[in-house]
Amino acid sequence: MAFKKKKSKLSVDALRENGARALLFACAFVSLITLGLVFIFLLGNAIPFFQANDLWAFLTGKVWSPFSDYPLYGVLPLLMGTILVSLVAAIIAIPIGIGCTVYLSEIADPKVKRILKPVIEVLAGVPSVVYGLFAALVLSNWIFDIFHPVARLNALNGALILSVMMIPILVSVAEEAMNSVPGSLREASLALGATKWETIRMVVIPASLPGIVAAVVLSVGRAVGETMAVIMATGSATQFTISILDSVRPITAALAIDVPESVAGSMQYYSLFAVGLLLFVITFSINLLADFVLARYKEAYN
Amino acid sequence: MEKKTIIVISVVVVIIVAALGAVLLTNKGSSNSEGISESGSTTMAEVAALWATEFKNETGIKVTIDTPGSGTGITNFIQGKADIAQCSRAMKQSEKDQASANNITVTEWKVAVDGIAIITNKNNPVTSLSIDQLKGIYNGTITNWNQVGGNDQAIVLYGRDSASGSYASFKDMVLGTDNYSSSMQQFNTNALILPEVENNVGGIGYVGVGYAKEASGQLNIVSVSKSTGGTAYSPLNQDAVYAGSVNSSAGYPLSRFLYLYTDGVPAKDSSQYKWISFVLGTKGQGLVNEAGFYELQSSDLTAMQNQLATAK
Repeated sequence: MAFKKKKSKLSVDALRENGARALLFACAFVSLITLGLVFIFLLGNAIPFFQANDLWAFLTGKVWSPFSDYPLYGVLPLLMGTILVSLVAAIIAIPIGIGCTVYLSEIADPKVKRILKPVIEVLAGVPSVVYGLFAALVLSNWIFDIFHPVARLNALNGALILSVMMIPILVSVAEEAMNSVPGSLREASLALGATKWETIRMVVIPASLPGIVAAVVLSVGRAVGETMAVIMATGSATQFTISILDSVRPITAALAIDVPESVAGSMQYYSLFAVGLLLFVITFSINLLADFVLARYKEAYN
Repeated sequence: MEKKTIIVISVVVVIIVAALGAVLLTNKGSSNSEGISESGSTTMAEVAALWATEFKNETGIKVTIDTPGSGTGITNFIQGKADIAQCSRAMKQSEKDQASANNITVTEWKVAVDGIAIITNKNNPVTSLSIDQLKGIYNGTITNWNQVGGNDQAIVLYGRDSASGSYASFKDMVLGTDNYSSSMQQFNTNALILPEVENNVGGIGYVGVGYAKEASGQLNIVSVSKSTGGTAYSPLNQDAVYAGSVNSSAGYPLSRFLYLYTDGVPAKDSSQYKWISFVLGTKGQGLVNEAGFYELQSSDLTAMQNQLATAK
């Protein structure tokens, strides 16, 4: 075989082609395997906790003190912390973010856009510790002056700084999606007599909705998973509260704070994996929900 | 043929990646035979890091410090996973017994004195508190400053998080078996507590004495008494801190020694011998000050140096 020049050239090409495909397949495979291993690791370390503790008590307990003499593992204060901070952040960030996206993509002068877009992308790249410091030292004082809360560092402080962190991510992803809507669609809409606003509302947004939803999910994921900034901004008290002006401790903060202190293989250690698993389930559910919404929407749109 | 090639090559790639990952994970930087491993107190993380850096510059010997907490450090020391334990509390008898069972001759070195400072807002008239009052404040039973002779003002608690050594020692010295109130706001550094107390008129926090000194212009450092009506001392009073570290019923109640533990007195000119003598030396004790603790009193220092002099 190898003596025949023609053949060999062909087989080299085939090898290169197959090699490239195999390499890409391997890359995909590795990332999948990694995700699987992470999940198995989480689950494996959380199981001992659920064998020794009641799941219901874990989910509805209002006291989180793993390191006291009589440890109590009630995840509700942490869950409430995450919900308070992320939900309020999302309520603030999503409307502003989408409005900003529409302005940038459809309304802004090209000159303005040339300046604004890079600025927003730089904002998305600012390390969270910088935001956290700003929240702890500056934003907290503003909130204190306006609302006079008991605690200077509270859930509202965390929510505001998270919304500031979410908006750039949301805008930069959603803007790409809106930009990729073909101009011919807009022209057709305008030619049929629709106004600029009607075109945006009835044509551009529906056409780019999958991208917008992806951007929202990505930014909400960032809010739920953000650790450093919320530790610095919310004060980390482990109380169960539904007041936005109280100090709270979201799940991520609890993990970052308590893991270094727990001895590997102790009940505290396993309890933290149980909490981590809960966080995993939450973010996974958000993604599933988004997929579900998109699927329903595509049916309706088509 | 094509499919087979793809599968074969991809399997090879996966194996290579996995092998690389395994190598990276297991290769935890083999330390040289001269090196020392030290494990324990989080409170002492900063001072130990200062010591280790300076010590490496002087002798070239690497001291690896890990700070999972005093209790874990002692366990590592007993099980032979660490050469030296660093502790912000004295070793318990039960721990000493375990060590003897493992043929370890527990040798105690006092290396520094620590005083935990209680800080309040500049505009708070309360200047002294007893241990009982502090206990009530931190377990959540006292919620207003007027219950301890102050203004009608809600108390806002600031403290360290569970990963901190001060969290544990404050709990030991003040709360005993009680838990911290869940409304206590927790921080991972001393430095973050200061601006909170400065800005909140109802705030109270505890920090290492060094941090309190640096910020003493912007906040009050509360004097603490052992019992209600007893003499209250300030952590800035070095003699009171020294007295409290030696005797739990005298002087400043929130003071303690910081310790290192070795297996026997290290042999003369061994790495461990050099390490201990550096820590007890002028440079080492100077770094104790830099980290915000008090250096040993001369009597304690002499006792320790005499113990080191017995090295064979």
